[in-house]
Amino acid sequence: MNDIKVLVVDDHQLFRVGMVEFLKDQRRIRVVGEADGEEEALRCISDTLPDIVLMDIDFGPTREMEGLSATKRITETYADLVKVIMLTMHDNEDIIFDAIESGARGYVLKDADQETLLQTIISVEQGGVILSPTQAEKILKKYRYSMRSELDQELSALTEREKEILKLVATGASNEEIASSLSIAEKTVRNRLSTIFSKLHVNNRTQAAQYATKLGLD
Amino acid sequence: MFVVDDHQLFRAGIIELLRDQKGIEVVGVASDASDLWKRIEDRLPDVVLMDIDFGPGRSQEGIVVTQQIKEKLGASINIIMLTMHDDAKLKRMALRAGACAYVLKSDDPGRLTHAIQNAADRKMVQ
Repeated sequence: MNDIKVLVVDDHQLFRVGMVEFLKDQRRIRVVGEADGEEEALRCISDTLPDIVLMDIDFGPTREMEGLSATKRITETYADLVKVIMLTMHDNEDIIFDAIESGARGYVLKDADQETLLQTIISVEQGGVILSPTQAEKILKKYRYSMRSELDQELSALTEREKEILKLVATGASNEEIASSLSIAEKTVRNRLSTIFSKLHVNNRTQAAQYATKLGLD
Repeated sequence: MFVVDDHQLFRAGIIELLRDQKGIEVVGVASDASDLWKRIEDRLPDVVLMDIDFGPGRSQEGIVVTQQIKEKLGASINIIMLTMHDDAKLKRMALRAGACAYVLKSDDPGRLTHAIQNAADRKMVQ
């Protein structure tokens, strides 16, 4: 089995050098370089083509979140050839979410133990995506929240009358039944439905009914 | 040497870094104040490497602990602040609390070993 080539990127030299010293003693791991920021990391990657990059996020007061932009550039350039694991003190769901979006395949906190870091390196090198259960929960929560806000936004685009019509569509009512129930002309129902389809980006009443369920209108 | 830092991976790295340094032996580590008080009195180190922040909501705890160590265990223990904060005010506070040096995590290893050596020499003079 080949050694896993690792690059360590962190602006704190004492952390970086300590990490290199620690990793050097580990079986199956070969440290191929270290870098203190985005540009140096990209140069190092081009020279050494590591399997794994351990990437800090925050590179000091004037270079906050530089680790995220570096991760994005690495992922865009090298795709799965070079995999990035964030190694950071930030345990915030927005940052974890941004890291995953930038292309990170793993997320390890600096207060994790050595075994967690080593296991994450091995699993990510083998193609896995590794988050701790707490981080996965934070990502799911954030994902659910963003889905909900998207739905809320679409719901707020509908007028009260359109919501009433959509609710009746979801019950399976025909245009004639909707017209009668709301005391409006059937032609008005047809016009309103076409506006609703357009606002919700759907093509027919079945899709509209399904959307109503998602929006919680049924 | 005794290392106090809330990040286990930083502690592990520092221990590796200091392992081969002549005359330096790490006798204990702690992640925060309560962990430190459980261990430090048994081992009575000559020098303590002390972080300043111990995680969210516990900023500057390292400065408070520095003062407590000096008060409870006496002047013979020399404390080096080892922090990410390049901040003159924090540095003044740390030195006032009793720290003998202020080293940044972004400094090079030579600066740290030099500070440790100076702290140990101070102890010999005392």
